[in-house]
Amino acid sequence: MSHRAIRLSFVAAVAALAGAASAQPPGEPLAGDAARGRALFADTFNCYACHGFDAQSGERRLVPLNYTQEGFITFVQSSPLPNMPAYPDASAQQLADIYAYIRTIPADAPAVADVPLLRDILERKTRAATP
Amino acid sequence: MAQRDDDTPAGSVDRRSFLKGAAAGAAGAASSIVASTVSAQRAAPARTGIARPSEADARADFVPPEPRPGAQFIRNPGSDYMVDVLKALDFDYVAVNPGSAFEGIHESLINHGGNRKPEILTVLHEEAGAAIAHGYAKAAGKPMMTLMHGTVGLLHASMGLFQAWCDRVPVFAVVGHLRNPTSVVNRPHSAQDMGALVRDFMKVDDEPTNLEVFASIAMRAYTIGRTPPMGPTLLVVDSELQEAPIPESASLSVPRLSMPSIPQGDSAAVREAARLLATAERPLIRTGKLARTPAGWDSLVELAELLQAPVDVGGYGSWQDFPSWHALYGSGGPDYRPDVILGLELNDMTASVRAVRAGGGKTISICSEYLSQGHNIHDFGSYAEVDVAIGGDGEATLPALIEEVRRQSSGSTARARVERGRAIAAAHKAVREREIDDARYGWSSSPISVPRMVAELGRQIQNDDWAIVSGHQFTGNWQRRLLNHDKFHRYNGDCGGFGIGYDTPASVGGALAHREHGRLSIGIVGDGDFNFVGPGALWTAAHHKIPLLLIIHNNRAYHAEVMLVQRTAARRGRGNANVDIGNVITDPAPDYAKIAQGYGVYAEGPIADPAALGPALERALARVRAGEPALLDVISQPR
Repeated sequence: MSHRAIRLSFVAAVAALAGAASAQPPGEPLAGDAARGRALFADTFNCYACHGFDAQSGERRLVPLNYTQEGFITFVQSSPLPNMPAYPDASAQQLADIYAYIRTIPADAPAVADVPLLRDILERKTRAATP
Repeated sequence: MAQRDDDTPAGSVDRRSFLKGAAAGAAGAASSIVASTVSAQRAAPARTGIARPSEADARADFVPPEPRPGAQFIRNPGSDYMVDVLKALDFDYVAVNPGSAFEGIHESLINHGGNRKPEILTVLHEEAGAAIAHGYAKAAGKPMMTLMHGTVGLLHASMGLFQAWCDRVPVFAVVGHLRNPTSVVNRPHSAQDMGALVRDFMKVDDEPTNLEVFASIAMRAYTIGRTPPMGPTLLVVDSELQEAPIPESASLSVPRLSMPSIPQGDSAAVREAARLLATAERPLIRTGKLARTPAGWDSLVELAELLQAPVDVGGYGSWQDFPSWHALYGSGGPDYRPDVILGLELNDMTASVRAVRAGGGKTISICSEYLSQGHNIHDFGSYAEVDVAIGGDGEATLPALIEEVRRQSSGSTARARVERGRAIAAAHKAVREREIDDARYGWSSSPISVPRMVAELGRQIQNDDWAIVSGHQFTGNWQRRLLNHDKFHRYNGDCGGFGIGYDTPASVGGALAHREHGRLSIGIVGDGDFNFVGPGALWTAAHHKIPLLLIIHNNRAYHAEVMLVQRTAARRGRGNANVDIGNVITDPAPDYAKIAQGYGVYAEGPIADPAALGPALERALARVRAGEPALLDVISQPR
């Protein structure tokens, strides 16, 4: 995929999510089951294929997920993006479960400060831009 | 080999294999083959149910050597002179998968040439030979020669040569050509126009008709191949010209190599480019395949620091060009809006033009692609309406550009640049922190995440002079983020043509070039890539004692296609149930460690536990540091 296409899809994604969030009628969020959501993510819908088993990869990063549950459901069911197909047959409850799973990932992941390998990389000096 | 129509009993010895030893050693009549076969039959223990080939079978299968009219004892074959010419081109290695169309040159290389400069590198597939030469050329800064059989060998090599073409890398390819053969076997190996098979992605190809012309064409192919935009070249060498004695009347000498200078940009255009850059408020440098040598890397660092301009090294297809942990690495942060963009060996500036034109900004392109003759393959970029287009090599033009920017810079611009540099460095720091934070997701998962795999490698090699000799097409940008690419040789670039099968053999070639410098070479290759010609390339590494750690990024699929088919199925409302069909490499899952061990390479795996990866890396790297190849099969997340 070209950089241009990636950038366009990103812009479209942001616009779509923003639109989806506002288009969703206000109401009580569905109760999501994170364990069930993980199975749906990995097995039923193969979300892992593009986003990684822990939602950590892909051109559209899912974590941290900053959108509302309603916005997420609407977006997945009617995605306008070229690289993210719509899943109109996914039920709101299924997507609420996936949403619940994705929201657990940041809390379950260790902090950089607690991962010596990453902490070391972060603390190592980058090359200064000497004028 | 002739084919039999009769039925062979199940479990019988394959006659081709059975006869191989005898046939390979035979130089003369079929009767001697049969005699050898009989001896082999006597020596072999009797096995129930195995049909032994008859003398008629052996005669039918044996392919006699192509008769050579007037064959006699030859003291001064033409191929000796050819090797003298090739030696003048200073090749260190020649990749060879043997073939009868170049047996004359082969014999001259090992006996007349002493198998030194060039030394034969035995490869098990011509595509591997071309890819090894491709990876070697980028790491060594000089071409390797690859030698092939007529048609079949050249066609096998064609994919590797295509990748080198798309990557603008010189490979000196030579194909033997036995014209007008009488043997049924050799007829398909001859062609009316041999070079036509690969001409669409050769800078030049030619077939000399005598030895004087051979020397001229060899020198010409070498110099053209090494002149930007660089690329592979093909020399078709007639078999009879190799075999026939050098005519006594011939007055042959080996030409001196006269290498032309690299084309630089026009000085007036360079002055104008420098003016735009020196007065820019927010310059941005974007690069493609710029740094051919460490000098190009150093020049780009000098220019970026002089201007305090960010350097956006392109994604797949770009070479490293610039230190990945440098404060000016990147596009300057999300709020940086460039008013002047300098493209260096960026063959498509259309996005840059669009980005700055609306705001009245300017674009400059310094690129050797302007000098391209044009070919069939659509790997050249789109036409862009840049403001200053300079036809010349980026690396060669940089010193003059730097000098002009210095000359046109004033004290006030210097102060502004310092402020600009501080802001860019702060943005770089923020981007870097976010990227490292991204690496923690899935940190302890199995399959192992790609950033975990890269970070574990980084810890093990932090005190080595290392080089990543594979591309990064399938590992995202994690290598550049988590490994400090602080030297030119840290990364060898991607394949060029985005066809898989390059990474493993090219890693062997890169490692070969780094061996003489004592560098630790690592290739991170996809399982799909490895399965093309990877195992055989590993054998070459083992046979020639080329130290290389090969990490199989094993997601057990052609994963890009999993994503694509899934996307298409979802668009059509057909669900995901069948998307694995034709895309995954499971049931059975190949055991790459066993495959590597079978080729004589130290290997471990499959490794699916992230906690086990560090110790496995330590063991494998100990073998590589001792001078041998090693392989780790890492069960990894898709991307």
